[in-house]
Amino acid sequence: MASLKGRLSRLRDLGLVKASMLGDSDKPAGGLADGLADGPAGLPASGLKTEPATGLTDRPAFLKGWDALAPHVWTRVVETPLRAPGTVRPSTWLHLPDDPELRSPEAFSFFDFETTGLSGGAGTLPFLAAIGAFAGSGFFVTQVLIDDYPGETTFLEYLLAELGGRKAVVTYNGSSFDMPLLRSRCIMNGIPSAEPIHLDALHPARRLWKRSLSSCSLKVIESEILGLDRGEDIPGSAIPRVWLDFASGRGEGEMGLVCSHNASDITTLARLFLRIDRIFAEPLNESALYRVDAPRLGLALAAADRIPEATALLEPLAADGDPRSGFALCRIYRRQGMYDERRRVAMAMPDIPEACVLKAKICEHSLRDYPAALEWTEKALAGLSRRNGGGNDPGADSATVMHASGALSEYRACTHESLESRSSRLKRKIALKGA
Amino acid sequence: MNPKGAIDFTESFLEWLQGQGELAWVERIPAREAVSVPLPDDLSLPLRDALASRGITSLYSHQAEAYALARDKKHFVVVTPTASGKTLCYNLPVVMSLLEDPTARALYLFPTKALSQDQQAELNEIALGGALPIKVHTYDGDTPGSLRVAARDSGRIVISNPDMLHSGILPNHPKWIRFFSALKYVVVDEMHAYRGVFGSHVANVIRRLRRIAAFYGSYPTFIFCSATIGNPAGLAAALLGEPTSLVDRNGAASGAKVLAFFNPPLVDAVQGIRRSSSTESQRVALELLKRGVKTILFARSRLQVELIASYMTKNLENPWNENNRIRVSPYRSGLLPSERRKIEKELREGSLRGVVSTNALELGIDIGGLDAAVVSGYPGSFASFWQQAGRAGRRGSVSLAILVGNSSPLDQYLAKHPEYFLSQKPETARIDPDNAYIFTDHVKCAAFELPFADGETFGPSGDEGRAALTGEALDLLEEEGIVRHSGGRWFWSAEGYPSEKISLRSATADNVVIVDTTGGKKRVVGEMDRPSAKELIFDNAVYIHLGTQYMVKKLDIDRRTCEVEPKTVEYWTDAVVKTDIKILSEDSRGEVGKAATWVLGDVLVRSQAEKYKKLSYHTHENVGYGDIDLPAEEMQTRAVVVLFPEGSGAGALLPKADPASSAALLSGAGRLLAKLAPAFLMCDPRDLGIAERVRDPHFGCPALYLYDMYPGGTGLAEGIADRLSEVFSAAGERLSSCGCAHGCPSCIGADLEPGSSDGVKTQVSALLAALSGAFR
Repeated sequence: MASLKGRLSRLRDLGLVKASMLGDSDKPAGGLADGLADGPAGLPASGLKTEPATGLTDRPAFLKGWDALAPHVWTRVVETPLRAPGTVRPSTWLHLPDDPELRSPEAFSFFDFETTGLSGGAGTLPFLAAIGAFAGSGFFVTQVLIDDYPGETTFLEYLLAELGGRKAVVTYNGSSFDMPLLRSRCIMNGIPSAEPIHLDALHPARRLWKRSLSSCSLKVIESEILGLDRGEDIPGSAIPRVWLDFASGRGEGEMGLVCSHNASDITTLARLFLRIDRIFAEPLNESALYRVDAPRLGLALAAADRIPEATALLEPLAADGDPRSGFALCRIYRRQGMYDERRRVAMAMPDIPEACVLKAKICEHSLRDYPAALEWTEKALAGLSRRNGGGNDPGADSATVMHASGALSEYRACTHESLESRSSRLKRKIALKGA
Repeated sequence: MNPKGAIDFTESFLEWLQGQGELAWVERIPAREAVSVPLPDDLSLPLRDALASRGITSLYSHQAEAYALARDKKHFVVVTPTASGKTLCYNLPVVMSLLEDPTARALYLFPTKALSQDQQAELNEIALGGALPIKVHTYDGDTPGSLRVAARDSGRIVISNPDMLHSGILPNHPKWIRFFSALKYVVVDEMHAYRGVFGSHVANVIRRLRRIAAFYGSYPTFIFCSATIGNPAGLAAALLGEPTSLVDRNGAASGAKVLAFFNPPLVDAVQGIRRSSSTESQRVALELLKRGVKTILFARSRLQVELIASYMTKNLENPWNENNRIRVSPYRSGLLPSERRKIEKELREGSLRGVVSTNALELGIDIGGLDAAVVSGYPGSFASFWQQAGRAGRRGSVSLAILVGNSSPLDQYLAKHPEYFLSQKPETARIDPDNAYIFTDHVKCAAFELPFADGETFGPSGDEGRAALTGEALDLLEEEGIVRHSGGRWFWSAEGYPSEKISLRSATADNVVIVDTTGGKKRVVGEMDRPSAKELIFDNAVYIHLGTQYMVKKLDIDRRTCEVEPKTVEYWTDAVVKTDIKILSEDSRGEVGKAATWVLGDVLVRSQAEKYKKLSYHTHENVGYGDIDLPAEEMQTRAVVVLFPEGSGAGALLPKADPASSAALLSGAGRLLAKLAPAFLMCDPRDLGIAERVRDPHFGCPALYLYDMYPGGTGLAEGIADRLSEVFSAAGERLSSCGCAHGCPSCIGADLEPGSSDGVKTQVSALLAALSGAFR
């Protein structure tokens, strides 16, 4: 069967295996492996790597300060400069019961995986995990690393024990990546997994900053919102290759950076958690509101039944003519049944098409003043045509708003078709009333 | 129509046909009685009620046989002609078992999405009709994210296709833990579609499926369903990797059938040119429709289907009587799913009397029974013809299938030789799951899904060759850094997602969406696969969709969109496509029977539409030309080329001074090669391309190309290169044992006689003898 290998590898050398594979980014970094296969010693490649899996004999430099937990499994604890706050109140911004235990910062694990790929399929292996926790006045990050596949079971068992020791686990994008991956790996290793309460900080972060940031990646939040500078770092996309090379005996490469990247991510996550908590604790304290999307914050407060704070936040902004704050405020008042307040805010809004629609709605449904409603509808239509025609009217920036992340449904719902049908309905109603 | 009336009708129609041209031959196939048996004893009451509500109180014998086997957890394949109650063969035992065990799950695999839609509709009907608590979910590329979780977690029956299993389900199996842990049945419908390279891929996907199921402790029973092929049990066993039982005694009733070959009248008796089969088949179908017969007309291409349907509609046009309430619709791929569903429903209900279709309706889509099938020109394979003819036929009635011949030598041969036509055995479907290339690709995917253990064989164990092949493949993948051996297991050690880059089919499914942009709005009209788009919906082409004409404004291949606008013109467009093969590398050479040389290498097969013709409606006169400015469709693949240089043993047999004769000889040898090579390679004829050149521009001598139809190649050219003389020797045997006088479709083709190439059969024989190394 030597012919198979011969034929296939010759084809691959020619780069001709599959047209779809040409230009493949994960082409095997074949140089070294080829060298081993065809080397003068004539050893088959596999012969070099089949020694029993008992861990690294020569400890790589980056593992200085790590403890060997079991064969192939390493761990260390990193002390960080982050100080613990007195209490936290995540129940004010997450759908959590107001459990007194959850007010202690020590109730939370902050968790993140580094993996061999981003697809999340069954072949994706997490090889490094960081679990941060407040203890006493400090914040400590425990890291667990495997240097080869056979360490995975111990690695997972250790993580589960560590996470199980605290009430809740906080991640960034963990609901679609880290947690399902943890579940999958446990299934594949035959380990039963019980999961603590999980909080994904990505969702509140998106709500607060999506509109003002190009992306809500942890990296961008770290530098743009938290104002941190990490110093030397490695891009996330380069991480899988570093470990795969390291584990296959090609040297430690940038493994040191990978580990510090992982630890820094956790510290940043904890800082972000505290920042969000502070924003919700003192929503009217401007110092915490840096680049926060106030209408979204207001709506979130209202959803948590904190109406006075929500309106106190939004009223001055709406009064300054910010339409999004106006819309948010109107929604809150409507839900509270405060129709007079709603009308007052709506009618004072600038005449961009979306606001004209709101005014038309109020005229039609609460005031039953159809001619006025029709007038607002026509005004909205005219404004929309001007905007689409690319005119230089002040409403044009609303189109930007519409495309900007964090647009409210008021913008999406304002279309030519919906306005046309509103207009014809109003005309019918007017005709009916007249008759 | 009662049987007596139907017989009278058929005979009177044949008489009419006789007067229209030449009724070459008629074959009458008698009706068959149903063999019914009582419902199985262990069938639960709710299921009996569900069946009763659909009027089913007994089973056909083959359904009962299938039920017993499935309940006994025996793998089996059931061969089902059209309208024999196929779906009940698997639905009944599966639904019964799922009712008994409320955790049990089943997977249904269909080769195409349309079929799975059909299946879901039918199953929902059973499940809901009897209020059975069985949730059925479709899981394919069209399933929205929001429904995927529901399908995984609560789908008792999941309907999918091999491609989705390969790239979506298996690589993410931990998410499917509940499904795999309780998987009891796997139904593989339309099994005959899984042949050749595609079938070899699917066999390996099944290996992966069983490997993952075993990981979760499940050993599902496999139920295969197939249309008539030469080797149903053989194909099922090859796909599954172990022997299966065979259920092939059909207990369903079938009505009598009349099969006729109609030869259109001669236009030019000297050149043997006849009226076009598409015009004549329209006439035949129209006559049938006007006599009140539900008719399906099969045409060769999507464009033909649209043209014929619109001519027929035009012909039936009569504002005074609403066309006698006769409607004709085209049916083809590229229509929107909703449009297809509508046509299928109208056909079933009878509100649509006529349909013009491509082979899209060959597959098991339920359209109910029709009374007559008209096939425009021999469709290229006997299986295809019988599937199309099978569309006509209803219990207790007589149906009519008419093949309308064209002027091609092949059709004319079939007109003259009904005995040949009727004695053709069903085609054998071959696969080679251990093809080294395909095998290695799937070992790669399997390693991603679960690490291989030392000594593990991929696929059925106990075969030393396969055990060795698994080891070879893993060694190779390790050399490439894709897997790594550690602690007695082989772990996936790359970043990618392997199934994403391995396609089970030769043509990828990236479709161009056709959008009507009238008035600045965007409305999706239809879709078309990319290679066809370049030949059919280029800029300024006329695109016909369900009889509506559109003009193409802009085809944007990169963005996979084509903008059209409705526009009525008096012509249609037809691209002129040129295909050529370019040698990219010559990797190895050898001799063929010491009489010729073979060269193995990479080739680029290019086909390009450069110009188009405008053809007037009805008259089909050429009324103008236009240019097409699109990049060529290119496929890089592997080929073996047989060279016939001057002075070589085989080259000497090609008359240099007579290129026409040389071409005839090469093409005769090429056709035999095309017929026999698949048997040697265990592939399907469609997996191989054959081209002959009297004077090849690259090699400067006559050449015969045999190339792999999968981009990049799947080892077929390599597999045949050093066995060419064997293949040519088998070809020589086939030729000498062929009873025909001057060539026929079974050997060198029927178009090589008589004329200047008299004695072509003898000359090809000599050529093959030389190529097989037998000197005279």
